[in-house]
Amino acid sequence: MRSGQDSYHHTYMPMHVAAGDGDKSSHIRVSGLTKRYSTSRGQVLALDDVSISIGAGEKLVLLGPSGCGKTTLLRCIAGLESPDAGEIEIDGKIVYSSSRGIHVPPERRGLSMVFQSYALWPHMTVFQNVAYPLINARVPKADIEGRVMAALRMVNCDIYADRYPSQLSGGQQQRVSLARAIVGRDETILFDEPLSNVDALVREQLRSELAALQKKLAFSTVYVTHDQSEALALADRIAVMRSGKVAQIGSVREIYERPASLYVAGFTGAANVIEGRITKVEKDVATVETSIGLLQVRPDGLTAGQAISIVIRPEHLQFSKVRPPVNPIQGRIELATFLGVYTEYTLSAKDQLGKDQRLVVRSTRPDLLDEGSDVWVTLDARHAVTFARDDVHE
Amino acid sequence: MSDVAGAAVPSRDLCRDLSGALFSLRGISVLIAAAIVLLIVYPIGLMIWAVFGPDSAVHKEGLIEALVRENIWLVLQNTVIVVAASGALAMTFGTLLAWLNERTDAGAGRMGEILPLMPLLMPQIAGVIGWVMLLAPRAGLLNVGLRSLANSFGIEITSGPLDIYTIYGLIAIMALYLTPYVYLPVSSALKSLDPSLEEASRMAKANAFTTFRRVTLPAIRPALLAGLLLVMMMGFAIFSVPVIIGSGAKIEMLPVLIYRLVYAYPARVDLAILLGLLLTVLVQVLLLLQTVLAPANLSAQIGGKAQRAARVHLGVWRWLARILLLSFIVTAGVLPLLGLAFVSLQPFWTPNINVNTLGFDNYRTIFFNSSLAGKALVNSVVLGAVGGTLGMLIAALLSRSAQVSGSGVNRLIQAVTAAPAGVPHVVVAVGFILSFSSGWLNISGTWLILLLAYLVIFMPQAMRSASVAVAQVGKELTEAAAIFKAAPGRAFRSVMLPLMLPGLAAGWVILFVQMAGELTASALLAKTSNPVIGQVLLDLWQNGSFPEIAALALTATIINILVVTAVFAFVRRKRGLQT
Repeated sequence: MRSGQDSYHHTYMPMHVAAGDGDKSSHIRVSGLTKRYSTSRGQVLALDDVSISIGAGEKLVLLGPSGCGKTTLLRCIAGLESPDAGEIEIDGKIVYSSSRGIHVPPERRGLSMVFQSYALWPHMTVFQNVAYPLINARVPKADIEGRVMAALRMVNCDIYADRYPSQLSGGQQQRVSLARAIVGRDETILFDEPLSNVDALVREQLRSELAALQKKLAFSTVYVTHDQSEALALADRIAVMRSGKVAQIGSVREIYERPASLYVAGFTGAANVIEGRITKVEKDVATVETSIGLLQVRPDGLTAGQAISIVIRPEHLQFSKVRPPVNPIQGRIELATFLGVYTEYTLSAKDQLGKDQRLVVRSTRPDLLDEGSDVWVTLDARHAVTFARDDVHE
Repeated sequence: MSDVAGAAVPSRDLCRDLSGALFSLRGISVLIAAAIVLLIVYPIGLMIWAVFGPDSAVHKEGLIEALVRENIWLVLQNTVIVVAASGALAMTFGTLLAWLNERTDAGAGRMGEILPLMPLLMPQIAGVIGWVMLLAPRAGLLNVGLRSLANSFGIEITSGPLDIYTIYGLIAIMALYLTPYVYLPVSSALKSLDPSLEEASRMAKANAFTTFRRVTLPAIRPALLAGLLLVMMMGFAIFSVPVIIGSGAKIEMLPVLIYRLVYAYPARVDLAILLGLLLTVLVQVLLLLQTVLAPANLSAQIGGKAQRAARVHLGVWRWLARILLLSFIVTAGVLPLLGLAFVSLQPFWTPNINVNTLGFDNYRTIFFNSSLAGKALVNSVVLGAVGGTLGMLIAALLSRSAQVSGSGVNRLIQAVTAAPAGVPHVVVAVGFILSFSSGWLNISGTWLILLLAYLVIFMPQAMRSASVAVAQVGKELTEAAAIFKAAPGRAFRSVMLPLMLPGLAAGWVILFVQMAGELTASALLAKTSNPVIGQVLLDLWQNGSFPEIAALALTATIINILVVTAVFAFVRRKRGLQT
């Protein structure tokens, strides 16, 4: 981690962290973690030598498609899953080490967690659910009620204290499960796709409440999701995972603006890929010959003759009434889908070989362009990312 | 969730881990599993030793001769014929009833829940005796009714027209008690079978019958197979029907022969042991077939979510189907109960019913004058309650530790607890007599020998209920307990146990009813010092005091009904709260 980020985290140090802990560079450190599953079709490598560290108060999001190992990694940190190799250290204490034969059970790791299915105990009231971690931590009886109600107030669920979970809506249940996670004032809260079971409207609301709560209480967060917009909204750093490996880890802007691979670019919403070959590299600009004409991109690290893929997000293609001076692409609108805030257009660009190059363009222009009309778009070179095609692992 | 921690953990934790390992779930489970193994292996080992060991009293030539003298071939032939015929009937009816109830508009909600429980409500021997009281050729109440009906048409009959003491009567009553063993797996398979499979077939233009034949039946084939094997196993093991009806019809079956060899004078325990081992091998082969052919996890299906299926509209047939469902409930439960009630009110069992002589004298006799019957009632209820509680606790612990342990331990626990299913009750009893009747292990004639035998015999049943109860508690709920700092013991007490309670209570009821009404093992293990209902009923039957039998059987049935109703009301209330 860079030192600049360290100082950033210090301002958000949790209040209850003992003095002297603050100089540690990482709060959770995972190294060389490997986990195999044996299935009927043979062994699956769920985690393949994963190393990752999370600073105190930091929000790390594990992002990736289902089966990429993100949930397994989270469960290994929680202690719910036992890895096959590697080491996990929480707050300076080793909680798992294959070489030293250490496996500290979850109840002694000092973490809490928000589960995908809420996991509220149906035979306990909301109050009893939230009080449970305090009772287990032997918090004095006199303090329990105050702390439970304070936690419930923070998630606006204090009026439901005497209800059973089955009497609450999905969103309310997830709020209660959030209260249960914060009531113990643990330094780290793990989130296992907590918003995937609630409907879209509640999801957005919960997401912003969660962000506010995290800012207020400053706990470290490890958050698993497959939803890139959730990741962007909640993360300090994102680790994009693929087949049990960390494909890229970096700040939100890094992941978004400088994806390290086509896979990361694709997973964070860059839908357009144009293939071509570099004909000329100058000081400020490299020229690429593509099937839809010559395009100019940033020259960093490119050499003439290289086969590359240009990746560009839908919102970084702009319509133009006339032929634009830079990076002009001509196409025909095949499909226009009005999506409220923006309209998404699917273009078929002209191709000398007669093959279709499809491009997705997102525009916030109020006037809807007709399907079937011919248009010009321009590609903004500042936002185009290039990958040498040798780098494309498929 | 492992209890193992390493050297780097502070010493306080280390102590906790050490004591934790000793008293851990796994430690206790291993001890219990070992005890079960001992209670099965030791008696059966002794049996094998007694027959084939060097001190064996059995000499090979004499043995075959002795077996032939006991008509072994005829007995085997009888057994196979009766089991095959009643099994086929049970398969047909069980499947038909399950399909009607789960997949057609004849099914009427609660009827489906009650139906398989009907035979459970009475101790089996009480139900069988009830049927004899209805269908005995001369004094049977149904026969009396049919005769008076015939008389009104001018037809004079003095006996019959129906006779339960025939091979048909034997097969019919056997089939009645075997039907739930088909109904249960088939209906739970139908419940958990995604109805959209059948809906998709209907949308693909297949009619109801084609859908049943091409989609439903293949999908529930494992359940059908499981039902078939279960029926055969139970068919060879059921004792009450052959001992009451078979003996009356002079058709001897294998379990009855084993019982007679131990009980008759002079006793031929060696022959009983040999036949017991034969019966065990027979059932073990069936059990082996089941594990090879049918998928292991039927319990998971029982736990499956009930979905609303598109029901087949039967039209006018609907009422016929409903009558069929209802008539099973009536024949399995109501009719024998009526038979018992009538006879219990008479001074002696007679076809001529005189209203003036009806009264409760028989009840007075069994409660106050016959110490044996009264003692048997108390003993059976206590044994049922204690055995049911112990059995469910043990099974809950074992299922839970099977769930959290690795697959090896899991499989071991499954195998150990399923093993008694392959040992017929009468064989367990013979083995217990051999093992626990002499020396320092002599507990013969005590309630302890009965309790141990019941626990061994009904452990597979207890495990089935408990593993359903354990599986019903979502994995994340127990994980959440660990995350929120509950040690394994506390997590079990505060989260697992309360959530499993409804499932455990349902399992407890089944154990209570079966233990309190147990006959097969009790017939050999219970004596005048430790009488139980099943054995006292059988003894009274052989001495012919029918009205008292009826009174005792009816009392036992009423106790069962009260307990079952109370516990199921409790279960429903608990479940209602949580969903």
